[in-house]
Formats: sequence, C-alpha cells, structure tokens
Amino acid sequence: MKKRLLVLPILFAAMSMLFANGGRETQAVVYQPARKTEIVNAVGFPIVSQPLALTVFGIRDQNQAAWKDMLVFQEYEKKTGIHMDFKETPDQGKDEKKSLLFASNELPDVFLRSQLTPAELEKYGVQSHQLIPLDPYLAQYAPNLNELLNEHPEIKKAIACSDGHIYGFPQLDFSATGSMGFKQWINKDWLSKLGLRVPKTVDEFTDVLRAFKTQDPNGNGEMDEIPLGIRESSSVYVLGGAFGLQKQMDNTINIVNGKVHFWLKDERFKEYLQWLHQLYAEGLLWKDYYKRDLPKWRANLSTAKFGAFYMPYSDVFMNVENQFDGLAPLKGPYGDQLWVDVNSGINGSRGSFALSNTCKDPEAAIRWVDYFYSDEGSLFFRYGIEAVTYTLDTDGEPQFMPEILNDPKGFMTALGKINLVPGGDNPTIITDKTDGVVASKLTKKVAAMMIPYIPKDHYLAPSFNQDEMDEFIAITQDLYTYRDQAVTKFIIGEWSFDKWDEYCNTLDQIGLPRLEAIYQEASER
Amino acid sequence: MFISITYAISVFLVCVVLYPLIFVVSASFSDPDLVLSGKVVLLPKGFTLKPYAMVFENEEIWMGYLNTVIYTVLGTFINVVMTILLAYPLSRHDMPLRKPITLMIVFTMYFEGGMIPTYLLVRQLGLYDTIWAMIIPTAISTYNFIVAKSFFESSIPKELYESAEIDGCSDIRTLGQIVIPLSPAIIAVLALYYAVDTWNSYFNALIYLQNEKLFPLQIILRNILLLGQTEQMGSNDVGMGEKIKMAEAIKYSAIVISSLPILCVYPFIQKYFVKGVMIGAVKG
Amino acid sequence: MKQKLYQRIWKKRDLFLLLLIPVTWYIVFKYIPMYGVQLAFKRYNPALGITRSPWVGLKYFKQFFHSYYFWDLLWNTLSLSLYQMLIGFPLPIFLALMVNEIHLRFFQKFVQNVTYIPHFLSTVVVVSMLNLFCDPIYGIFNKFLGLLGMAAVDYMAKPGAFQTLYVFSNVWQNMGFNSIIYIAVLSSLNQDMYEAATIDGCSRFKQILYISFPELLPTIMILFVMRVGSLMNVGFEKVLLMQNPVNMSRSNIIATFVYTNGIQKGEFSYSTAIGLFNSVINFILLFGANRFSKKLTGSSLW
Repeated sequence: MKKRLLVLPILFAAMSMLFANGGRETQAVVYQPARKTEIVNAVGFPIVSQPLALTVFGIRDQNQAAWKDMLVFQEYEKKTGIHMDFKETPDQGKDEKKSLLFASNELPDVFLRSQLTPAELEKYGVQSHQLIPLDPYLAQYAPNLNELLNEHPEIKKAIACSDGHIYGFPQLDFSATGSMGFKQWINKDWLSKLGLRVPKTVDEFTDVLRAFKTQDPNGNGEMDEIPLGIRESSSVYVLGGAFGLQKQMDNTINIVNGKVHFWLKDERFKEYLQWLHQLYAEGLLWKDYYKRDLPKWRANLSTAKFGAFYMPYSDVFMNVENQFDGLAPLKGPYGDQLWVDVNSGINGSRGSFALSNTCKDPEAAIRWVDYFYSDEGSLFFRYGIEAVTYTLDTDGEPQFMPEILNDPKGFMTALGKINLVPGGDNPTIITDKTDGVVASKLTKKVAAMMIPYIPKDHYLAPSFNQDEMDEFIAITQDLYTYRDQAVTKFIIGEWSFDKWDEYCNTLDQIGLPRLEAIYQEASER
Repeated sequence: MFISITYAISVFLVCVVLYPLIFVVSASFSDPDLVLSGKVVLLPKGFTLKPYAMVFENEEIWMGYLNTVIYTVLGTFINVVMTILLAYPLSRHDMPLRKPITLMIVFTMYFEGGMIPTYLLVRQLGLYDTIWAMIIPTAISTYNFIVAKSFFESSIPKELYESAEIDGCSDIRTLGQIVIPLSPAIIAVLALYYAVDTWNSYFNALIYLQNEKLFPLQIILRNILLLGQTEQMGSNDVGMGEKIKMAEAIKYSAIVISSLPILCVYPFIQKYFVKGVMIGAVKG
Repeated sequence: MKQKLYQRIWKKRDLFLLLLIPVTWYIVFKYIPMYGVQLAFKRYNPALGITRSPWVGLKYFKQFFHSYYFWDLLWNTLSLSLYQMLIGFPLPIFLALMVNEIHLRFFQKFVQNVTYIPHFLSTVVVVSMLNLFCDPIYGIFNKFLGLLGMAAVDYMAKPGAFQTLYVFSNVWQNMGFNSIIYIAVLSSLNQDMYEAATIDGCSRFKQILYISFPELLPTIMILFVMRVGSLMNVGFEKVLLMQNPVNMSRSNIIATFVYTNGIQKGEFSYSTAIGLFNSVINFILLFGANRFSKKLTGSSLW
C-alpha cells in the first residue's frame, strides 16, 4: 500500500514537468524594431530631442558611490537628455547576479561596466541573441570609436565574435602605462642603503633579494622585510619574461614558427618554477602570495614591506612611492630579456559596454557611450568637470583638486563619487594624457623602462565559434584548476619536481593538445 | 568512579565549548595590537571600546541588522502560521487523502528542481530584489512540518476531536480554540527553528537580492569577516596599515554584536521549547 | 459502510480549506521548479526559455563523468559526509547519555545550556571564528601548538585539515542542540527499569548499555535515516564559506562545484545535470538506509 502511494508524487512531478510552463515565460525576442530614429540627433548634444530613459545593469566597485549619485553621470544626463536608470549590482556576488540575469531573460537596455568575457559575449550574443550586434551602428553613430577601431584593425578583429559581429565595446588603453599590466618595482632606498647595484640578471636579482632579507635595509632592527611580492597565483604566468615565456593570445602561449604553443610543459617553464620555488624556500618570496589576501597585499605595499614587487600602478602605495623605482626586465639564463604582460590596447574585459535585445534606442545608446571614446569625452569621464574636480597644470595635464586627492576617506573613495574609474574596466579610452588618474609620474617613468623589452609581435586571442567554445570551456574548466594547483604546489614545495612528468602527462590527459589545436584553428580563420 | 569520569568529561566539554566564545568576547574588548600579535589568550588586554565604536558607526551593519530583524520577525510569523495550517489537517486521522498528500510533501525533501528553475520562478513571480524573496521561497520547511505533524498526532487525543465534533465545533474552530491553546510548546519549537534559520541565512540573499539596502546582516558580515572588505578600503591612504589592523579588530566586535540578540532571545523561549521537543521526540 | 471519497472530502472541506495555501505553496515552489530538471538534458538558451531550448541528451552527464575532477568531487563529497556522520551523529547521543547521568540538577542544566549556545551563532560567524583561530600569528589553535612546542600551521590553508575543521566545528556548534531530542527521550523513561536492574546488581554503566541505549534506538534510527537522505547535500553553505583557493582540492564538493561552475560561470545545464545526479544518489542512499533500519530495528521512515 505504501509503496504504491509513492507513485503519486512521482507522477505529480512528472506531470508538472510536461505541462507546467513555468508561468509567464518570456517570448524569444531576437531584435526589437528600432524606434523611429528621428529623436536621435546625429551629432552634438543633446543626443535626443525628446527625453529618453534607458535601464542599465553594471557592476559597482566597492569604492564607487551609487551610480545615480555620481557627478559625471548627473552632468552627462543634463548634457545628453538621456536618463539612465541604473540598476547596478555590488561586487559581491556579481558573477551570480550576471549569469542569473541572463538566465531569467529579463534584460536591461544597456550593460555598462559588466565585465563581459569573450565567452559571455559569444554565449549571449551569438548563441542566444540576448545581446545585439553593435557594429552596424559604428559608422553612423559612433564616429570616435569607429575611427579608433579603423586605426587599429587588429583590435577590431579581436573584439569581434565568431559570427564577425561586435557585441561588446572594451576599454581601450593606448597610454604607455596601460600598454602593459604589471610593472616591475624595486626599493631604491634599500639598494642604496646596502650599496647594491640595480640587478640586471635573474641571478643578480636573487642575490639582491637575499640581501634584502638578511641585512635589514629598512633599519628597524627586525628582519621583517619581504624581499619579493607577487600578488597572486595567476600573476606567475605573466612574469616569466626572463625565461622566454610570453603571454600571447591572452594565455600561456608562445608563437613558435607561426604556430600556437602552450609552454606549460616546457623545460623553460620548469626552470622558471624551480627558480620561484627556490625563492619561496629561502623565504624570499612572500609566503602568502597564493592566498588571495588582497588586504594583506595592500597593507604590505603601503607600509613598504616589499623590496621588489609587481604592480600595474602605484595608487595603492602612493604614500611610500618615492622609495621605489622601476628596473629593466631581468635577463634570464638563456639571454631572454622580455616584458610580457602586454595589453595591446584593450585594458580590461572584452565587453565593458553592450546592448540587449530589449533596447529600443540603440542609436541613442551608442551615441551616449561614443563620447567617452573621444579625447574630450574621456577627459570628462575620467577627470570630471574642469575647475570643479580638476585643473590643468602647467604642462596642460589634468590634476585633481587637492580636496579630492587628500580626502580623509581616501582618494579612491572620493573619486568613486565622481566617476566609474575606481576599479577600471570602463567603455572609454585612456591615453597618455588621461592615464594620470591612476598613473603617477613615477609610474610613467617606470613603464617607460619596460617598453623597449615588449615582444615585437603581439597576438590577440582569437574568437571561438560555438563548438570550439564548448570544448574550450569543457577543457579549461579542469585544466586551469589543475594547472593553478600544480604550479602553486611546485612553487611552495608541496610537490617536488620529480612530479614534473606526471604533471605534464596529466595536462595532456585533460586536453592540453586539443586546446592548442582549437586555438590554432580559430586563429587561422 | 564512573560518575567522576562523567563529571570530568562534562567539565572538559563545557570548557571546550566556552573557551572560543569567551575568547571572542575578550578579543572584542582588547587593544587590536595585542590581539593581532597574539598576546590575548583568555581575558581582555588593553581594554578598549574602539572596535565597538567602529562597528556602531558602520551604517551597513545597522541596515543589515534592521533587515534581518524584519525578515526574521515577519518571516517566522508566516512560517509558523503556514506550517500549522499544513500540519494540523494532516495530523488528523479522519482526514481523507491524508497519506497521499503527506507523501507528496515529504517527497520534496529528497528531490527538487534545483537552483536555476527556482530562481527563474522567483523572478517571474516578481519577487526578485524585494523583501518577499527572503520570506516566501522559504515559507515552509518540510522537516519542521514533520515535527509539527508528529506533535499534533501525539499530543492531541482523538477523543478531544470527537467531543469537539459532538459539540458542533467546526474543524477550523477546533484548531483555533482547542489545538492552538494546547500547543505553545510546538509553536515555540517552530518559531525557534525558523527564526534561527532565517537569522542565519545568507545564500538566498546572495542570489535573490541586488539592492544593498535590502541585504541582511549575514551578507554584510560575510563581506567584513570573510571577504575582507570594509567600507573604508580606499587605497593610497596614509595609515593603510592602521586601517587593516582595525578591520581585523572589528571582526570580533562584529561577531559579538551580531550574535547577541538571538542568544538573548533563547532563554525566554527555553521553557516551552524543551517541552515541545520532548513531546515531539517521544512520539516522533 | 465506507463513504465515497468525494463525500468524505466534502465533509472535511474545512480542513482542505486550511490546506489550500500551504499546499499551493508546495506546488508553486517545489513542484513547478521540478520541470526545470529538463535543463539537465537540454542546452539552455535563455532567450528560448526552458521548454524550447534544444535537447542534447546525456551530453552534460558525460562531460561531468569524464571530467578530470569527477572522482575527486565524488570522493570529497562522500568522504566529508561520512566523516560528518561518523563523528557528528554519535556524539550528541553520548552527550545525552552522559548528561542524563548527572544528578546535580544545577550542573546538569548548566552543561545543557552551555552546549546549546554555539548553535545560535550563524554559519558566517562560525567560519570567521575558524579563520581567526587558525591564523598563524594570533590564532588560538596555534597558541596551543606553541605550548606543545610545535610550529604554527595555518589550518585553513591545508587541504588535509579541511574535513577535520569542518566536522569538528560542526560538532562544537551542534552537539548540544542535537542532543536535546535524545535527552528528552531519556528523561521521559520510566525509572522502574533502572531500579529493577540495580536490584539485580547491574552496574550503572551496564544499565546505560542495556537500558538507556536500546530505548533510544528507534529515535536514533529515524534520525539516522533522515540524515542519510541528505548525505549528498552536506553543508553546502558552510563549505562555500570555508573554501579558499588553497584548500580547494579537498573542499570542493559536488554542491559547491555546481554553484561555482554552474551559477557563477553560467553553465546552467551542466549544473542542473550534476544536481540531478546528486539527487539520484541521495535517493538511492535513502532507500538503502531505510531498508537497513527496518532490518535492524523494525522502525523506518516508511
């Protein structure tokens, strides 16, 4: 009797599966008919002749104020006549929110600062058509961006998806400081205190680190110096220039004889890891580097605990900046002297700006964002209003007002009340003129030291089509996890290098060769 | 001999349970420098109220507090009502279709559609990013329903129903006038189970809430305690090290402040609660 | 003469009225989402919705089974659950048996109430306490190690320590509260049995073994079966909070994998497939446990 009753709930569940429609399921919409474009002005401001409202989704960095209260946006609304209904989400839980948003298909008009990855652009643009192609509007409604893309065709190609359309606009960075991610810093005060030269090779560098550790350069009587600071596990992959390990196609790839080659199994990589392991074992490398403890990292930086480290900008340690200087990339055991953490124009995610298929006014939206790709617009975006938030100094370079720079709550917090710059990754362009928000003069100098050593050719990641993307995801899901764990274990010494062959075999097993082939195929298209 | 072992173990257990709690309270009143350098072991050192002051100044915590209190009070009320409405009819032996309906309900404890379909449903019902998203999807716990049903079955004798029927009392009135007055214990049990669950939850808020003004306390705590993000994490601050230190220090006071209310409530319900569990247990 | 079903329903229509709202809730929030299980067999396209997304059969199941991490995940999940079960399940019973032996009323109540307290702390709080205690510099675990002359270890960063931390912090938190039900049963027992045993010369310890424990057995078995039923769903929220990049190799369980890969990375179909797999295993275990309980003690969930 009881067993038979069990049939009931199962039957019920099955029935609801067949017949339930999940309530009001939204209809599939591919393209909304565009509103008559009459209200959009082709050039100039205001952008629209009648008030227009657009809903916006985005990710709010913790230093940013609520977007509707931001000075730049408030000003811009007056200027353009477009009201942006901001529905941003905080940093915590952003991945969940974003993917669940797409899953529910209740989309905003605009995605701003939503950190859309190439995979997401492919998935939600090409496959489910929830994002619309933006390239049809470039010529007519985005003259600034259009010009930039035409000047840099490799970028235009790189941001296109597998169907040839562009679904997301990235942050473009043509400044010298933005052309590379990490820069190399060393405490010059400590060097001079210990009477050391700036190291030129990997071995010299190691010796300097040893001196930092044992000779108490900060003079406080304690050996509390941390010779080398690396921010996190993933940083390791882009710092192997001295061993000839490049970052082509945004991955651990060298281009050898025109072919894509993942160097994860190379002897050179092994030597690089062995060097790092040696540093770790001797206590020269920050022992917590792999713990993703950002607050500790920042604390160490701002109290000048690190002797040498890698950082993109000096904003975090501005208060002790003058103790440091840059140095040219180290020469490795085979004579390589490269700086490989190259950005080549795109600084941040692929899709900082995108439009959904519910947007009835794509022309207006595109015009709205295009301004930020102009010189005037990017200055406005990054610095605000002249005489209110910044002034031009004698070199004609913008400088923030003192009350913003010295705000008791912190410069970044003050900036976050003005614009979206804290955290970066915005649909705008950064040039040598506007990179000063985060790039101090010293940072520019340091970057200049590294520029000569950037690899001559830089290849951007290819776009994958649906099948390739599926395979890519399936393989990298496990591959990256294994790779990261293995690399960390090698460095901290949990795995001895006897396991190297096993590691290589596992990589093959998970699908490294196939991944290489996918990249090769996609790049040949 | 045997008794002394028993007492010894009990004392040991009490110490093991109490020590972390005492430590946290002590650390919350101690000078952060001493705490971080490991000098605080049991009693407060360098007595200070600064961490508490910082917590009190933090608006996010207060907002989270208010939200959690609202969700808990409102939510628990709805929880208890719904559970009783469900458990009472199904506890009566004269209820037709009793077994099938109960089975259907218990079935859901072991098989469910999963996070995505539930999320889609919540969105389609328009609950997303509202306080109702924190209350309605979790309105009934099947486990608690079973407890309540067992309670009713075992502590309300059949004769009571029969005499009520003879007196012409409708089933609904029976619930209100006879069953409920006899059941403060189970109401206390349900209220306590649900309230603790709601007070404690963070995951639902993580996926169903976007507006920070609606965030419950646990999400804010998660930010502060586990993700290391406090309001004033501005970079390039002079005294960044100081900030980090304070951020660590307020963790202890935050823990104390957030746990205090629920701990205070317990003694009051304790009497009813224990009785309720007892009755539920014996016949459960 | 048995009345027809619909007549009996009509007679008791009041009760059905009461049921209306809660049962509707179950249908809406529990049964309707079940139709979403289809996602496990489809390639989800949000623009088409669940019903119209294309079928792909067992593709995602295959992907999961062939994943390099499949066995690790399975092992992590099962071993954590079993560990939790082996330690966490019996301890409240022992506590109850022990508390029952304390005759000093005051002390008995004291022990009980003290052990209840941790239950009221939230998971977030308990995990952060764990983090604080494991810190190599100021954490009390390491102070203790220091007393023994051992070097400090950051246990949260050690994959090997993860399960122990998880299980024992659970014990610390819930042992007291979970013992209430057993204490309740024990305190309601008729003391005559014990008196008779004492007269027969039975030691107290033997009395516990042969009287107290068997009386608890039915309750124990029911709770046991219910616990087994949720074996595969072991503490998802707590594990998620305790995970960090370093202990992932042991802290990644099926549920958190579903979350990080499924929800955060937007692989909805994949995560639903794994979730389904999880539920099926759960079910099988539940059936097994119920059978076992029936054979052993005659009592069971159904």
